[in-house]
Amino acid sequence: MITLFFAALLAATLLCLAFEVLPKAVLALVVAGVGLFAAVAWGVRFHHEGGGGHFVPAPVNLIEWPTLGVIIGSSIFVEIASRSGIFTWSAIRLLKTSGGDPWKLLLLLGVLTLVFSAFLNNVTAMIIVGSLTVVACKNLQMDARPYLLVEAFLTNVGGLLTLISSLPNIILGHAAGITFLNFFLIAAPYCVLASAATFLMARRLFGIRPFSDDAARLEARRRVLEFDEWQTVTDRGFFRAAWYVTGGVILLFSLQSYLPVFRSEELGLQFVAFLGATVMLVLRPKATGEALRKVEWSLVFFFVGLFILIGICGHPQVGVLDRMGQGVAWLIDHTGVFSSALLVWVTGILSGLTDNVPLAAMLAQMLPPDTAPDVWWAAIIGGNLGGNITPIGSAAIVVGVTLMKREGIKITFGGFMRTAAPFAIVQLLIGSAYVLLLRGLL
Amino acid sequence: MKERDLDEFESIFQRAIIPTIEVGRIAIPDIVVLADASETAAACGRIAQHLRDRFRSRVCVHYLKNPGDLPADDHRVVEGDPLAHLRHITDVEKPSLIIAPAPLHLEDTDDGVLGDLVDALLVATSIPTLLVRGTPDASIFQRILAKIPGGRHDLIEQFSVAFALCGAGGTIRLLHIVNEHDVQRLASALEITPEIETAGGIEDLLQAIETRMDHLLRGAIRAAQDAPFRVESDIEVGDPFVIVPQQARDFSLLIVGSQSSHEEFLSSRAYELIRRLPDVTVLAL
Repeated sequence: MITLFFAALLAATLLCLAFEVLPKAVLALVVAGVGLFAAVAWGVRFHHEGGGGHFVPAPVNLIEWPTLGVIIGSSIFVEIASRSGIFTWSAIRLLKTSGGDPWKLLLLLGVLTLVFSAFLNNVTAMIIVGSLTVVACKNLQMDARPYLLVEAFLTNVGGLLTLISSLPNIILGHAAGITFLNFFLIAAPYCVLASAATFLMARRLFGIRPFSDDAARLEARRRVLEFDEWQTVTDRGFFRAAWYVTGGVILLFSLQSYLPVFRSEELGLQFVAFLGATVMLVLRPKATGEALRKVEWSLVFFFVGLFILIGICGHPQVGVLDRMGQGVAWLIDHTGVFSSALLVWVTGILSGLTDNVPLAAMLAQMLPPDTAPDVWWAAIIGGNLGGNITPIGSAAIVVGVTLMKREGIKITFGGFMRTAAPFAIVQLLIGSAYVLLLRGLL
Repeated sequence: MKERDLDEFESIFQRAIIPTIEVGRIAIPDIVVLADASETAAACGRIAQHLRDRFRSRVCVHYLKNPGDLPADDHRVVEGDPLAHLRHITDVEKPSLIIAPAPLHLEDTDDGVLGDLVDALLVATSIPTLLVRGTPDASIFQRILAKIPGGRHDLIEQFSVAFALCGAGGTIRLLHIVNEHDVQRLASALEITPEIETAGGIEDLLQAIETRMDHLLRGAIRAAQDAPFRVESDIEVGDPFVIVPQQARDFSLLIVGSQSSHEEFLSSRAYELIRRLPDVTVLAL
């Protein structure tokens, strides 16, 4: 009975998330409260011991604090770093490098999207690159639509590049025990392949070609050279310092699992995220209030509620995730070598239909720690790429679609899916082939 | 959705666009000085000499009444109808610059602020005219206020002149005034009155004009980054008849555009502005 109740609660939550019945944070807190009350009423016993033998209320132990730490620390760091102008400066530098040539512009804005998505969150990456794209296309008198679409598709590919690039990466990577550097080394080849395929498809489907006549080339060059990257930098000292700190934080993230003290489980990636945020706050103390306000607290509370619900569902006395895990194990056993390839599609389609975060959180609980690496990678790849299927599949895609609408570009739900489907299918196909390759290598 | 963040980043990137403003080369091959017997006319002569040395111009002084001894390459004494003579200068001789003291009277009984001859000159000619007030010297070119009416063409024309005239170590301020009444009239003319009645409509239009002008002015500043003088810009919202006199106090030369059609040199507004600044030397383009 208790299993059925919580299975129904979980299914209802996923449906409500898919149809956006309530704001995510509110929904998660409501179901967490209902779930906790029901679990205690059914006599479920939670672990109550905190550090030093202190009594800790049940919800505290159910929350994945390291994940929240990385999210909050990174948000503060990115918010203050973006005030230095390093992101806008580099975006304009890259735009000018393209010389305004449509094909080079597509490639360079695409690469910028990948890099920003890898180190910022996908939404911030899409906001920065998308805004530049809109302004640049207006100045170059070009249609922004193909560029915005490709960037939106690539945010989810770039979101695969590092352990902190996306929420499914943080959740599943942490559960699978993958280090930052290992994550990057395994994800990078896939990202290169998927991006190359995306660029070539965009060239073919959107007819983006390099300029063939010199007059058009010269005029476009003149127009992109009107952008002055230094206009986005207000304090050059802070700008330089932000570059050093950002470089240091990326280096620390990469080497954290190899450095003494840093590699301790007591600290973890969240310590690096908070270290970067703290250094930035020391450099810009006046921005403290605004930076703290800019943290996506609704996302944090969504996670709090979600972790409590998933924690209850994963409790042995409740058994929902155990049963689902058995189902997944059965599927993996009965699909043989193709199990991971199948999982790419299953997680991809499910994360396209509903939020990929609860899906990742459920998979993190369902898959045992000794699960084969290719299965973890299948969940990670599918969980990230599913967002490319629909115009509401991921927050970054929503930003891209919003930018198009603001520019008067008409795009319907069906129209988006018709355009996006070939890209999503090719990216998932490459993902399937890649996990099969990983099965042989890892 | 972070609509506010999108606005913020779009605005950051918009501001990063600095249009290329190419400073035009200004030549002043011939200058006509209109002179009476006043001290101001003597100052006109000194300024003409300064420009002659800098631009290798040929200076011709036209004495409206009695002959004088201002330094020049050529001298003439106006005989007959001064207005006909003036028309001959503007329609036939067409010098590149006319320098005249203001006021400059045809009749002694005339008590106009600019004088009837200057009035006639401003109506008759489309030739750049320097109206000298008081007894300034060449240092007037060290502090130049250029009132930019708006648009790339006007900016390039006036900025190029200011750029050519300003001396080393000097300052040029490019002033653009967004006149709310003009914007409202423009909105009405474009028949978007219903829209501007909605909240934010007129403000959006004002904002768009300010943003565009800000880009152009920053383009001018960038074009002058290696110049031996300083170029600054200022965009104000309000009444030009209040703002220009306030700012002109800190400058020794005001450059104004004609803001008019080809049929007449100065618009009534530009003319009125010159009239209301009795102590400021003005270069009307």
